[in-house]
Amino acid sequence: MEPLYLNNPTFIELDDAYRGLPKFGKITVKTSNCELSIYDLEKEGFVGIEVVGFASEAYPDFTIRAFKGKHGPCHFTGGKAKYSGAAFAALDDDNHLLFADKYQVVCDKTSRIYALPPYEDLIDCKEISQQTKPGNSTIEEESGDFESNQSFLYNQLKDQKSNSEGRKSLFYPGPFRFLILNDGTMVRRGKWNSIPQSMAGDLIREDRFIYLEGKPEVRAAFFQEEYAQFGSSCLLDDFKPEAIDHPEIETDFSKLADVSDKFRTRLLSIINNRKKHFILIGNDASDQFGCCPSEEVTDANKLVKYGILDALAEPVQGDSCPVTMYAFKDEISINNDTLSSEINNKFRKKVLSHLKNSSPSGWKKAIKWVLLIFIAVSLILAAIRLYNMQNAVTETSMYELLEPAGKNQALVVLFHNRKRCFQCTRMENLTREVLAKSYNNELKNKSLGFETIIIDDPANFGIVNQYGIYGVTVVFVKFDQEEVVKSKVLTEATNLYRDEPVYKNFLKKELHQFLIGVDD
Amino acid sequence: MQKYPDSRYFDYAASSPPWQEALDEYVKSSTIFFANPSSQHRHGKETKQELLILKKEFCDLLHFYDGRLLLCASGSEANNTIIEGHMRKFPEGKLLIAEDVHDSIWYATDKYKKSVEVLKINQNGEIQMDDFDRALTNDISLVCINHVSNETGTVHQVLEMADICARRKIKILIDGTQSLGHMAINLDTIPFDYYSFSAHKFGGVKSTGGLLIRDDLFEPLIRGGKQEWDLRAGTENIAGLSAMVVALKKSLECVEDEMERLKALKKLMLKQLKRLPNVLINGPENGSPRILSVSIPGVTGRELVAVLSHSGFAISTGSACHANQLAPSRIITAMGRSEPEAIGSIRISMGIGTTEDAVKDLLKALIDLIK
Repeated sequence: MEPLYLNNPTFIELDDAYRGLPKFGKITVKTSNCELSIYDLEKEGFVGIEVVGFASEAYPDFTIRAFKGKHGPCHFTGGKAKYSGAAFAALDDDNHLLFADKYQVVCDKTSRIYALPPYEDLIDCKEISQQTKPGNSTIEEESGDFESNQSFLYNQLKDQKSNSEGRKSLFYPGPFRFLILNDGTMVRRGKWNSIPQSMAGDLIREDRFIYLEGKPEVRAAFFQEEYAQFGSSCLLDDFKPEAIDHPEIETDFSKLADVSDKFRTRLLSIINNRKKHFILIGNDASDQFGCCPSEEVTDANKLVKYGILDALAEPVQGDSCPVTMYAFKDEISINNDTLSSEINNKFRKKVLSHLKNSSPSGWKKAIKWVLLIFIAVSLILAAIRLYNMQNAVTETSMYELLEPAGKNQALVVLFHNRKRCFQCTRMENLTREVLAKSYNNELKNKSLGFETIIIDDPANFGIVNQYGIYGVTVVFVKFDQEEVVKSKVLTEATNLYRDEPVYKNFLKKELHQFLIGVDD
Repeated sequence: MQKYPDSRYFDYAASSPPWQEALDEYVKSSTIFFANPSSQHRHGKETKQELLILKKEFCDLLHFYDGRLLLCASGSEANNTIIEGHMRKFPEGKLLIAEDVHDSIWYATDKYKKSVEVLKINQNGEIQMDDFDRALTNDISLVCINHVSNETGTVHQVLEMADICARRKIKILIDGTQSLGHMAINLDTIPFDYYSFSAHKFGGVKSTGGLLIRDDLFEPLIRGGKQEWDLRAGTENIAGLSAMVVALKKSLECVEDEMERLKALKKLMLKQLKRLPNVLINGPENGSPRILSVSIPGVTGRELVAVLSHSGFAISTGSACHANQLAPSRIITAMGRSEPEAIGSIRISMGIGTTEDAVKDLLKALIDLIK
């Protein structure tokens, strides 16, 4: 199924090839139009795209290698990565902006992609278990989104003067979509770029740049200038959004009161800095099919729905995260594939006024504090109740709910939501596997069993509250003559399910201790 | 929404009326893209491009991004392709087949007797995860299950089962004939290897179906051409595919509303039927809202179908594919029903043309007959 070579493929032929490739499978494309083929490969969702054969007079075609890789859900298992080439920052094919000297959290899928050959020697990956040395200022363990990383980059580079003097043309073969050099120079993959002579040697050596005699000078683009003019869309040079249709409705400014503090701050920043638009990457959290849920996207979409924001989005290819541009209502439009934007001061003034009015001040602050105290007291009471239950609980309703096969049976209970997610499915499967493998006899003689309880079923609210369940959780319960005599809520299980051996060992150990009566 | 003249048709699980838009597209595509996609001339190449575009469109509608659509002439051919292809590629392979699968899979329990293990269903027609775990021994190489049972409407836990298979590197074929186009599905989240379907079940034209595949580790069933990446010989049915894409689009546009509407109609039927003595409901109440299976011991399903047919109602006895057989439905029997109960089973399946009035009329006719 793996096509080794495609000759000048069309986009749809690339799509067909992508679908036929196994996970992380490789494709090699021969093309006379390097830029177009790279664009098509990017659009299709390939990663690690790199020009590995350069056209010459004797051989007029470019050879491009790329990998299948974006598909599948993201799980954060503690991996971190940083760019280690000669540039200042690098943008990969899934819009991760990596910095030299700054580790950032990446999901397991991205870690696996960074293990592919094109990224060898260009990305350092490490696991969370590797402790960083105290005082090592070059390692910052943080990660930001596409917007905040660009904002960080801009702050780092804004004082750099763009200088077009003393430069030479170098070809950047990839595998990154963009490199940003120390002086802010933007380098695009698959193109001739204007590079400061002082950096050329390092870039040729470390990032595999190509230099050929006699290539004409090309215009240099600088990140600090592009960012100041276009905002974070400057790194989306092929961003061709389409307007998202929504019915014409009257603006409801009162909905501004419902947005999160983070999003409120973003809106204030847009207004105060007179930014025309902003870009968010991710899915609406309410989208059951989305793989990258984002609370900010959810907030933004809500405001689109109530006529406060407008949105432009690019059709999503493969498993790429959706990239959406937002602006205040009627401030952006697309005409003949050209994006135009104009700030509407009157509208923004109204938004600002509602944002200020809805800010938590005065009596609202007082209510906020009362609520916070109420929540804190509730949490303390819940914790006390949970503590009591874990030590010696006498509970009857659990028996009625689960109807265990034997009056003295112990049960492993998985609490999950009605809408099954990957996490609870995985936890159920792993738990069942542990029971089948290590407690087969107990299952057969019914001294041990497995049951599930739906958290969001109103009929179960009593039990859910009683056990202090807030999400997918495993709970052990032991009955004696229809009463719960012992129980344990395994809150840690939720954090371990991604690592199969760790989860299984944990569950096995906990269950063993629970059954033989050893408490932690 | 198109109008269906006959709301007394209750056999949507056997076949659904085609969308008018799908028929229009079929004619249009047959006219424009008549060339053979394997031909090397311009017409052929244009048709080939269209074929790939339509396939992409179909897969994208189902959130299926990392695999291919292999065209077949029916769901049965799709299932046969995988069973036969797997056994030819891996002669030592062993199949685990659920009791409620369609005959296009079930035949393997006879043909490959020694290489098949049967996966039990319970009295509700469900596969218990414990049973699945136990049955999935290390020598199993291919698991075959339904997404939705064609006879009882039971919706199986395919995500969970596919996840276990994926982690244990066991291939899984899911028969999606009664699910695709009838429920919102994100195939990207289900780690299956093969997913079969038939287009006329969701308003496409007859003799179109296919397999969504994530690998090509099976021998072709039909040989003699390099079409479909050498996995199925024969000129691709591009017009059928174009109609299939339109039908799927139309079905998915209204799927959520339809599910809610049919759920209410099924509830209405269940409420009335449960009041009757001797009427047994086959399958769980939370199954597919399209399909309802009931057993009425003492009469045969065939008699009920014939009598109701005279009154203008189209229902079926068990699975429509068993309509010419007098033997009791093997699926209803597998659920623990007695022979008279299984022989007295009927399937009522609803779709876009089903109305509340028609449901009430059917209930009245059914109640009169039973009484």
